[in-house]
Amino acid sequence: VSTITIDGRVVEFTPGATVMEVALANGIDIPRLCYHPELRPSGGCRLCMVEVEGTAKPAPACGLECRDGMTVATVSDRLSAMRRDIIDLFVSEHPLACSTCEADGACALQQAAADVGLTESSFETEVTRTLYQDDNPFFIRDHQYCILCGKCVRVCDEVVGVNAIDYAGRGFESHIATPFDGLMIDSSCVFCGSCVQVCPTAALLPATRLGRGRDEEFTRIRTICGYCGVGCGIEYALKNGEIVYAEGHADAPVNGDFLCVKGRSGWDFVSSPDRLTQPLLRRDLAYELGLTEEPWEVPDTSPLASRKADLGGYLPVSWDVALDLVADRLAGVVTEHGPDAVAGLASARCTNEENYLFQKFMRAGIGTNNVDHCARLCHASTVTGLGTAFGSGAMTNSIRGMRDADCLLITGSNTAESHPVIGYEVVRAVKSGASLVIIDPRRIPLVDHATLWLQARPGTDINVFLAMMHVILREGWADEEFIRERTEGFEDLAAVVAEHPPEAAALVSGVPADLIEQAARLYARGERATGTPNGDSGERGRSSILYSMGITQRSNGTDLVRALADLAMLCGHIGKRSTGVNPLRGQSNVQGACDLGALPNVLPGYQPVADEEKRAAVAGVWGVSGLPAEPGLTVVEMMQAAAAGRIRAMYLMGENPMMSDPDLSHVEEALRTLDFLVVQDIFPSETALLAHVILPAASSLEKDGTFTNTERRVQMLTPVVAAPGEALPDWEITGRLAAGVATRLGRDGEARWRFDSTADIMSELAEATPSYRGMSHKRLAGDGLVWPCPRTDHPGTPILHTEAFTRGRGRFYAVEARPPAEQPDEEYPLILSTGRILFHYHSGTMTRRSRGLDWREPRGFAEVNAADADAAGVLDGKPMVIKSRRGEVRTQARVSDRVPPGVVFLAFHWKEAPANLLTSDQGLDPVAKIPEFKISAVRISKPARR
Amino acid sequence: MGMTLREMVHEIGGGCRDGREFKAVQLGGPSGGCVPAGLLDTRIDYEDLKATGAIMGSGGMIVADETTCMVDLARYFLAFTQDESCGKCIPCRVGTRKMLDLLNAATDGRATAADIDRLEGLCRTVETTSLCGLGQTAPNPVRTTIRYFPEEYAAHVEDGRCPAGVCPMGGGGEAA
Repeated sequence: VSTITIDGRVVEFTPGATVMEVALANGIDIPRLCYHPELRPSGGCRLCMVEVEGTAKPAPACGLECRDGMTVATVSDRLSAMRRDIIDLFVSEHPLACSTCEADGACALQQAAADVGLTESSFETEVTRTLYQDDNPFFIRDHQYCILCGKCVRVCDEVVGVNAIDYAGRGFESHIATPFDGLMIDSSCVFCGSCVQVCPTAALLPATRLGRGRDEEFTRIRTICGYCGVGCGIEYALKNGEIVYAEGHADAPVNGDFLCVKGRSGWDFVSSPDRLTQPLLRRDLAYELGLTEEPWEVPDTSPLASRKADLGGYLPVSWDVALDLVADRLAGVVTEHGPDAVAGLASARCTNEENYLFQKFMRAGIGTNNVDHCARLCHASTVTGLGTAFGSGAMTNSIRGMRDADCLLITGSNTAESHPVIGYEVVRAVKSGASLVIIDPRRIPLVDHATLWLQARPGTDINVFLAMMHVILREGWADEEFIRERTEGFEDLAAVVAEHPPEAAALVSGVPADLIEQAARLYARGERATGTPNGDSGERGRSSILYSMGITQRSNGTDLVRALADLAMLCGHIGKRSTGVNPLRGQSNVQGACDLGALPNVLPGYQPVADEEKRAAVAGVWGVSGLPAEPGLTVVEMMQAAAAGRIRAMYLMGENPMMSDPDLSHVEEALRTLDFLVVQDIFPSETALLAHVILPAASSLEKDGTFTNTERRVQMLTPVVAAPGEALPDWEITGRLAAGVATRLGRDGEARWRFDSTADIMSELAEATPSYRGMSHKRLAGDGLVWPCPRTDHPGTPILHTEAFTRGRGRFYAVEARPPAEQPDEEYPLILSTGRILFHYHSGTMTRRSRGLDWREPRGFAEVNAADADAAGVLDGKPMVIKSRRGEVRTQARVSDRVPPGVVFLAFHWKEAPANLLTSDQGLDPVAKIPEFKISAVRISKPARR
Repeated sequence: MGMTLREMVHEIGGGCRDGREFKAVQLGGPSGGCVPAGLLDTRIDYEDLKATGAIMGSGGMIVADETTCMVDLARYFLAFTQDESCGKCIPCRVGTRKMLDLLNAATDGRATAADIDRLEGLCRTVETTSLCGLGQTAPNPVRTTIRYFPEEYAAHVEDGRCPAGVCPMGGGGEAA
C-alpha cells in the first residue's frame, strides 16, 4: 500500500492520484478556485499550493501526483501569506458588490476572501472585463465577475465536447469568449449550462434566478429527471414553492454535476397554463348523462390540424363523476364483449409503482394481457434480441464505466442529442485516448470525436456488422476461449459470416472495405485511438457497444440486436467492466415499465404469461385465482384491432399515440372507432383530444415513486412542486379506477387496488418481481439499486453476465442480411429516417411548452442533403413537402450535410409536421413487432403556390 | 564563461560612455537581475550569478550608468514581462500588473514606504506561485534593485526625489 503524509496524517492513495484528490477524500480541505474533481487540473488559481518536504518551493496540490512516502503540509506561514496575496489579487479585479450580487452566499471567491479575512482589496480595483450578455433564455454571462478560472472552458471541452467557448486575448486582456466574441446562439453551444454549474462566481448564472434572491432563501429538493432514460439526478432550487433553477449535484450516481439542456432548463412546463387540472368529460357524453343541457356533436377535424389544443368540447367534472363513468364503461365493455375487448397503454414516463399497478389492473382487474406501452416502438427488439442471446434484454454495463473503455462502438444512436449525458461519457473516453467507431448514415455530432465513421447507407448496417465479424474471424481476433467456455451456436454464425467478406459489404453499404477492417480491428482488439490496446500491454482492451433506435426501429431489429450481441461475444467483450452491449433506452422509465410487466407477453420481471408456474406465483401475490394465459396485443396490433372493432375500449396512461405511433391516419381512425377512450395525461395531448374522458395527472416533478434508468438503476423520486389543480399521481387514479371496476365486475375483496403510498406498492411489487425482490424505498435512498437485486441484502448488479449469462450460455444467432421492408423506388426515391433532436423530446408536449427549448427550436424542420434539395428545387429555410405512401407533411427544409444524399431526416416532435403521418405500421419486425420508423420511402418537393 | 563582470564590462565592453560612472548591470534579459558595482568581481557562471539574485538567462547584459534611475529601470523591465504574461495564472496576470502599478506610483512620486514593502511581498508571491518561468522570474529586476539600491527607492518615496533625475515625480517631488 502506498501512503503519503498530509498535515501529519498518514493516508493511502492509489497510484496516479493527486495530492488534492487524496486530501479531499480524507476530509482535508485545501483552498481552491479553479479545481473541479471531474475536470483536468488547470493550476491557474495557485491557491492550492502546498509545502512538499524536501522541495524549496510549494507545489499546486491539484496537479501534484502522490509519491509513496511524500510528506505534505497544507498550512504554513508562507502559504498563508501567499494565499492572502492571491485572493487580494483576485478581488482587485472583481467588483465587491456582494450585498447586491445574485451569487451572494454561493460564491467561491467570497468564501475564499472571508476565509482569509479580506473585506476589500489592498490594491487599486480595476475591473476590465465588462461583457454582459443576456442573448439567450438559459443563462447570462456577466464578465465583471469572471475570475478566469477556466472551468467553463474545460467543461465545454472535456465533458460536453462542443468547445463553444475558449480563452481569447492574452495577459491582462484575457477573457472567455465565443468565436469572434459573438452571440451564444452563433457558437456551437448546446445550452447544457454545465459552464453555469461549475462557475464559482456570478459570471455565469441561470437566467431564471435573476432577481429571485439569495441562495440562502432557496430550499433545495433532489429528484430524478423525467426526460430520457439516463436517469440524471437533479437538484431544484425553490422559492415559495416555485422552481427557481435546476442543477446537477456531485452525489448523483449517473451524471454528477452535469446535465443536458432539457434536464437543466426544461422544467418550466410544469407551470404551463395548458396543464390539465380537472377531470374532463366530452360534451356529447355529458349531455347524454344530463350534466349539460347543450347537445354536442364531435367534430371530425383532426387534433393534428391545430397547433393549440382546443378543449371546448369538454366539460370539467368532479373526480367521482369521471371515475364512476370510466369504471362503468370499462366494466360494461368487459361484460358485453369480454376482457380482451379492452386494451391499455401504460407509460414509460410514469413510475415503476404506477406501471406495476396499471398492468396489474389490466391483468387482474380487467382480465386481459392487452397491455403494452411505447417501449414497443423503441426497444422491443432489444428485449427480444438480447433476451434470447443473453437472457436479459437490458444494458449489460453501467454508464459511468464508459469513460474507461478503450474502444466505443456507437451505432444507430445519436447519443449526444438523444442521451446527452451519456454523450459526455463518450467525450470523456475519447479525451482520455479511447477510440470511437461510429456506424451511422447521419453525420451525428459525435462524429466530430470519432476515430472512424462508417457511413453505411440506411438499412445496410447489418452487412457491415457481418463483415466486421468476417474480418475478426479471418484475422484470428476472436476470443476463442470465451466462445468455447461461455457460448453456444458459434458454428452456425461462423458459416454465415464466412459469406460476408468486407468487399461485398462495401458494395452494398458504401463503406470502404478497409474502413470495415479497421473498425473490426479497433473493436475486437480494444485498441485505443493511438492503436495500442490496453495501455501498451498488448492485451485485448475493453470495448463497449452503444446502440439505440437506429438499430431497433427496423423490420429486422431483432436480427440487428442479435448481430451486435454476436459481435460482443465473438470478442469476449461482455461481462467485464467498460464492455458489453448497451441499448440506450429513450424514456425516463421505459426500462422500469418493461421490467414491471407493462408488456403483453410477460408479467413483472419478464415472467412469461404463458408459463403456468410463474403465472400462479404472481396470482398468489395478487390474491387472485388465476390470470389470463394468452399473450395480449402489442401497441400497433391494438390499433389495428381497434380499427377492426375487436378492441372496444382503451385506457391510455401518459401515452400520445397520435404523435408517436406509425401511420397516424390509421391511428386516428382506430381511436375514433373505439366505443370508449380514456386518456390520463398531464397535457391535452393530440390523443387526449380524441378521448371520451380526460383525467389530469401529476408530472414526475410532482410525485414520488421510482424510475429505473437505462443502466437498470432504480432511483427514488421526490415531489418538487405541488400538482396543479386537482391533478393526481397516476397510481392514485389507477388505484381508484381499478377498485371501481372490480366492484362493478363483482371482484371486490380479491386483488388489492388501494395503496397508502408508493412505498406500499413497492413492497408488493418487490414480492411479485424476482429481479426487484430485494428492493424497498428505504434501500433505494441515495444511489438506488441496480437490478437484479434478488435479496434484501443483495448489493445489486451493475455488470451483467460476469460469470455466466443470465440464460446460462450466450447464444450466437446466425442472422441473415435482410433489406428494409420498404425500399426507395422511382416514385418515392428517398429514405426518410425519424428521430429526435437535442432540444425537444418525443411528441413535444413538455419541451414545446418550455420557454428556452422552444426559443432554441421553435418550429419543425427536416434535414435534407443539398443534392436532393437541388434536384427537387427545395431551398434552405424554405417550405418543403415530404410525401410517402401513407401521407404527406409540409415543413421547413434545412439543407445540411448531416444527412447523405438520398436520406431525409424528420424528428417526430412537430405537431405541425407529424413525421408519423409518413411512417408505416406494416412490415413489423416479426419477433418484436416494432415498426420500421427509421426507413420509409418518400419523395420531396417544393410546395405548390397557394 | 568564468571571467568577471568587471572584465566583461570595463575591458571587453570598454566601460561606460563619456566617462560616466558605472552603476549596475542587468543580466539575463528582462527576467534577470541587476548587479551593482560592488559585485563586479562576480564570475560569470551559473552558480555565482545566481548567488547575486540575477540569472544567466539569455546571457544578455545591459549596463546602466549614473544617469539611469534604478526604480525606473525595474519599472521598464516589469512593463515588458507584464506585457508578455499569457494570463493563465493569477499571480502573473494580475500580480505583475499590480507590481507595475506600484512602480509607476514610485516613479510618479505617489508611493509610500509601505508600498515598497508591499512590492517586496508581491515579488515573493509572484515568483513562488506563478505557473511558469515567466512569472517566476518576472520579479527579479525589482527584487535586485530593491536589494542593491534601497537608497534610490527611499529617495523616491521618502524624499519625493529621483536621484538620477529620470522620473517625472509629478506627485510633488522636484526633479533633481
